[in-house]
Amino acid sequence: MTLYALIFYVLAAVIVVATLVAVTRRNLVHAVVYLIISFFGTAMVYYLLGAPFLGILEVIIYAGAIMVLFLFIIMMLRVERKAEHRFSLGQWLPAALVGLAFLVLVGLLVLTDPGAGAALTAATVSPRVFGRFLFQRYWLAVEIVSFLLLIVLIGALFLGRAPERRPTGGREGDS
Amino acid sequence: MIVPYGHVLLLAGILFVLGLVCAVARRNLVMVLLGVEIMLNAAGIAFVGAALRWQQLEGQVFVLFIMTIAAAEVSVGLALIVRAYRRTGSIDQNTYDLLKW
Amino acid sequence: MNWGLFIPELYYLAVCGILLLLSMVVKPNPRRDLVSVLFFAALGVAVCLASVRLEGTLFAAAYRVDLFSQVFKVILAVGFLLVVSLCTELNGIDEGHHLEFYLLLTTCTVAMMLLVSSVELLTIYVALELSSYSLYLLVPLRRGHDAAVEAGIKYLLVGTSASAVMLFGFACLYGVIHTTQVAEIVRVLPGMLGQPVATIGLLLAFCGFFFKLAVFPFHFWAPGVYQGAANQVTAFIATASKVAAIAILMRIVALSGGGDAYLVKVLVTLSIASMTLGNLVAIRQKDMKRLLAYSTVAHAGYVLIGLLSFSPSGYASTIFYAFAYLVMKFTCFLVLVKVAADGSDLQIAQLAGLHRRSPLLAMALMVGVFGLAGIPPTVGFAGKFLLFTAAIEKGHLALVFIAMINVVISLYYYLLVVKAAYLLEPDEDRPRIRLSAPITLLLWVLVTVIVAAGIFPAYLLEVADAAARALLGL
Repeated sequence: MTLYALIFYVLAAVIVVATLVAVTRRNLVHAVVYLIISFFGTAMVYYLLGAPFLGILEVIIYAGAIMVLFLFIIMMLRVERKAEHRFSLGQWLPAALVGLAFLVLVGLLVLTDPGAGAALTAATVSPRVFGRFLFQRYWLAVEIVSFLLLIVLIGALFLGRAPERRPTGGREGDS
Repeated sequence: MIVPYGHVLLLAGILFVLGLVCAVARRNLVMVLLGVEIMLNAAGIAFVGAALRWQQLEGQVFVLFIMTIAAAEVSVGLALIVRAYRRTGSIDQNTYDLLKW
Repeated sequence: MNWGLFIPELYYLAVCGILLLLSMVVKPNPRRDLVSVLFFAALGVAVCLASVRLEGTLFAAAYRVDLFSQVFKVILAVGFLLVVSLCTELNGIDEGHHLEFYLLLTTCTVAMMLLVSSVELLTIYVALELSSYSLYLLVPLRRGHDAAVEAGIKYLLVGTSASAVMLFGFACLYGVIHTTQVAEIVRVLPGMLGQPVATIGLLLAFCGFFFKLAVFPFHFWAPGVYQGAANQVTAFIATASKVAAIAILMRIVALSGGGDAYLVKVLVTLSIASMTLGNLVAIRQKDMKRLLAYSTVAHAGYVLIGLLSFSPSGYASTIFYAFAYLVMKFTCFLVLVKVAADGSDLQIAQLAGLHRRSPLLAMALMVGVFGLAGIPPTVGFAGKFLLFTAAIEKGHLALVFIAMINVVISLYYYLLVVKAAYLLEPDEDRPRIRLSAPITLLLWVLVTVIVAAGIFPAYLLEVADAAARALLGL
């Protein structure tokens, strides 16, 4: 068992445990914080698997922006601690059973697959090479995604506004 | 060699199932959105593992776009939840029963 | 790079830019906004028709322009024009936000056009997300209805979950086959379907598109969203969005080559489940939009029949049915929008006495609904006939038998609608519905197309055949 393999298994354990705990929290802020831990673990896995740029982006975007946005909104909504009463067994049990069944299925399928034993040799990619590849081969996708971000910006701005007073017919209702 | 590819796929699969269970079984709207985030993250891990397996960059580029779209989804989702909260005062799914499934 | 191949998309992107600029700079004026968008939409149909014969690849082989994609772009452009023509009294949307509404509609159209031409998994995913997000933003835009925000949330959460599942499928596929180009995957995947990860990846990858098409078991968003959204938005989701879903599903289904018996079994099961569930639950609906939603679910089942035939005639019949479905569904929505002119949800009982209030609307409703049911001599009958023939050629006799039973079941609730329009009497006298000249002309055109294309389907069928062959690269 090489050093890299050991690191991977430790990180995998951290990620899975953190996610499992996050999913079962009743307090939303706790759930988000555990998920941040899980995403830090994911970022380190990306670094291990040869994608340092993606690792940094995961910390900045996922853990840094998305989860912080969640925290803002959760604190803004002022949800009572008891918002979700004790998890009813009728609600959790079927989901947990089906989840377990899926898990066993996934495990069996993945481990019996002939391609599963493929070795992952350590390699890494510098951001410069990554950026060049991105813009040479996937320029259309970059443009489409930038358009998507513009549309989502307009939409989120409009949806998140305070409820407008009945419009006077003027333009104050516009974005 | 780091680990066999199957182990990375297994990790991604476990996370994916956890996210799916969270998205389906929780009644709190914000938790459902968190479940979707977990699922997207799991797909990201699977892609990076596959990229390393084939020693190619396509998988990593995919993950970049997944992160971008996850950010977009969270902003729209939370904006909608805030709007609904302002009208009804709760983010529990059971209060939203104007429309039958 | 040959930019000439990209003209329809560039045109619609320019329209988006113009609408964006106008929405920030100009005072809202519904009349002027509608006329300008109608003009842009009509010009767009002309542009798409002019570029039907283009062929080539763009953007490092991520984007393919061939007859299949161009035919679908024409259908989508026509769908967009038709939905915009519904917006004469846009009572469902706030007055200051009409330009944003048109902007989102145009964005969705351009995204769907990009989607039907994408042949690379990442581009497919990103275009699909762009079209989905513009729809997620359109649904809550309704004025005065609290249900719209609830519908928007449900649509978003279910849609993003389906999209995440699809992504995991893509990841499995990429891990097994070292490329994301659809053409390569088509070559390599049929031989690899023995590996469990490959099959799981393909099935998961279907989920996103099954969601968009409202196939069982990803159909449960449809009734709520159809009911909660504004009438014009529902018309767009029900017609153009489904056509795009059919197109991309065809590209992806053609990936597997048709040799895998397990995959065919799965598709058969889903088709039967969608048809039966959609038709049975539609019987109990009192709200017109919910009835049309369940009818959409049933039609998704019929479309799957054409897909699982995995033969050129199966694909051709699916393309023909996509166009027929657009026209028929749109006719029903046109009547719905005109009868519920204040933008409210139309109940079937409110159709009572329609033959007196507006004989033209009642007749159009009857023709549209008979087309959806598949009664000769409408184009719906021709489409179903072609679908069933293609399936029988491949030996799916039981499936076609169940489908025909479903057609009979669906006849029941479609006839309920016609009965309400023609035979029921309203409680109090309702005023006559005045239709403007363009709408009257449009109604006549739609009715003529539905009946004429049913009696003389040869031309459209030729086009569909050529497009199907272009899809398979023959």
